[in-house]
Amino acid sequence: MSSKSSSTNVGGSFDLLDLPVIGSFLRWPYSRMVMQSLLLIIAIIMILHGLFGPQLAPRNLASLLTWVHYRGILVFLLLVGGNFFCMACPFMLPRELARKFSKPVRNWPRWLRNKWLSVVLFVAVLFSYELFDLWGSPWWTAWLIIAYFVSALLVDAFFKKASFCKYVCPIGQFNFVSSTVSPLEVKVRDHEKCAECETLDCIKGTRDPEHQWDVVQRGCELALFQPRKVGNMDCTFCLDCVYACPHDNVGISTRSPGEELWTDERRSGIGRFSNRKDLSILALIFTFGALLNAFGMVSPVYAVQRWLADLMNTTSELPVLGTLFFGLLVVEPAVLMGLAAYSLRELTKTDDSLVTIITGYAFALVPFGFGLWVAHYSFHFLTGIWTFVPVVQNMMADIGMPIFGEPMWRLTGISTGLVYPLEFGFLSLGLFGSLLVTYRISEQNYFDRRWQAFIPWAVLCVILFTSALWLLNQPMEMRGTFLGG
Amino acid sequence: MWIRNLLIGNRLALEVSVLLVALSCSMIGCESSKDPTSDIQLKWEITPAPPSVGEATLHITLRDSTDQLLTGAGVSIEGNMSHPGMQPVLAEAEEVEPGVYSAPVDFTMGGDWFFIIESTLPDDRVMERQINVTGVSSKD
Repeated sequence: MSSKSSSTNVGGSFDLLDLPVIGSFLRWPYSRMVMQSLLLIIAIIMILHGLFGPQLAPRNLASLLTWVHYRGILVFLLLVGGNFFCMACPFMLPRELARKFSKPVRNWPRWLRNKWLSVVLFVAVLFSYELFDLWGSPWWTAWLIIAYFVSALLVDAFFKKASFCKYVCPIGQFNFVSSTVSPLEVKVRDHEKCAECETLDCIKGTRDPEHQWDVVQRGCELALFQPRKVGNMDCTFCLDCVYACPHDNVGISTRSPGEELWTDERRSGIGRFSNRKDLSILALIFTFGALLNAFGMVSPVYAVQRWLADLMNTTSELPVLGTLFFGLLVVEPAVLMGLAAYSLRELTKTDDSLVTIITGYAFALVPFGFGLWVAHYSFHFLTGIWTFVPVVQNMMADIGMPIFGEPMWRLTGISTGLVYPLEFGFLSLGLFGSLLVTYRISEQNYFDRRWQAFIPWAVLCVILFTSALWLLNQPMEMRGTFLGG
Repeated sequence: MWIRNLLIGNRLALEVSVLLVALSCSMIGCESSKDPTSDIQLKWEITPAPPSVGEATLHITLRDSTDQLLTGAGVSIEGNMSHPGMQPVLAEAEEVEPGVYSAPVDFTMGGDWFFIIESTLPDDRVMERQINVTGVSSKD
């Protein structure tokens, strides 16, 4: 299976590729395709069950696996490992097949080479989730999966490289931002070897020695040149760089989670974080979106919706939800971030503009945001971890093959009382991470007045943590009906 | 202009698009088969009303095609939240009056619930009906 021998890990850190079984498997160039094929089969079953199976969310694999299991496994993998969902992403398989027959010739438009489109799509997914109660509709969930396959196929059939992953995919952006706090990173093992490298296969791809115009192993399609790559942002863990490097000098190594959030060096394929307003907005949407998504599951949201509906004299959900989103994703971040930035300016007497300060510190909120996403999704995943068993039993019985026996509908998961301490732990870990990143950014940008710079942002982190804790302690009320109707 | 060039430049993507749109259209409109127990009427009420988190009782009344109360049926209920992955409620209903069946229900969480009511009728037909109990309040 393995085609290359393992090189010495110069940094001394743990390298996943050095592990006996997992390492050998991942080094095998077809390992990604195997994982993608497995997920593709599951996705096809989900689509078919979503379209033709029972239209009851708890009894359908499309809604159950998407909104309970997939999201939970995704955040756990990001927490303990890295961006392994993008590595095994099934949406890429049809496009790989399509590219065997027709190679795209266009470059992604220059004016779209940023995260603005994916920010809009990310908000659109969050909004649709609430407006159409996607969690409660197997049919719409199946179509969401189909839409993903079609979008990935069309974008990458038209445009070269991994345009869909880098500039479009909302799940990918969620994974990119989350993986900045993951403990694993695809990175160079020994930078001295890279300094001597003349072929740069990790970015250009490996050429056929007989026919130099033929690329036999592609390099990074997301424009991340390994020697100058910093952190996990935009890295899909596709391992093309690992397979392309002729010196076996790229590994999946451990690092300090979140460190890339306070370093502001120039990154290959990305530039400096401090110059990327689109990325800082993505980080803010990621963080405040976590609060909004959790808020949508507790009873106070219905009181707010009723109040807004009365105020606007409407019974339509669209304007009410739109106002709620505008308030929580635009007004709230603008006010809180603006106040923190203004306080920093007053305390440190810096000349930096409010926008510059906010752009820099937006990334400090990512650990907190990720902690909240993990707390939220782990609740659904752990409390409903075994619910797929009776649904699979029922599905098999429905298609005339009751090989797994009678559905055991009583199977659920861990009790909510046991999951709550875990949720609190994830949230606390997120707060700790955000405070650490905030301090390091303050130290880096305002060394002499670092504590004056740190305090307003630390207060903001604690406010966000307190509001998340309040949300977790609210009675859950999962409705698919607006205004209780 | 670049969009026009794109559309002209890549036939495969266009063909795939057309195929998928056609597939989508063909999938809309799948019909379910006829219900062999459509002559049976099921009425229900829940107490307390409106329901909130905690214990409640679901009362089900069954009548046949001649509007007579249907006695001697076996009625079981399965309650679920509209969100997947939550703890279900399973119970057997007791016939508390002729044709009226009651089952205890423990609403473990606020929100929208639905119940699958499976009734084995005296003539051995099995009837499955769904009722929706929306907006279970999380406060007493």
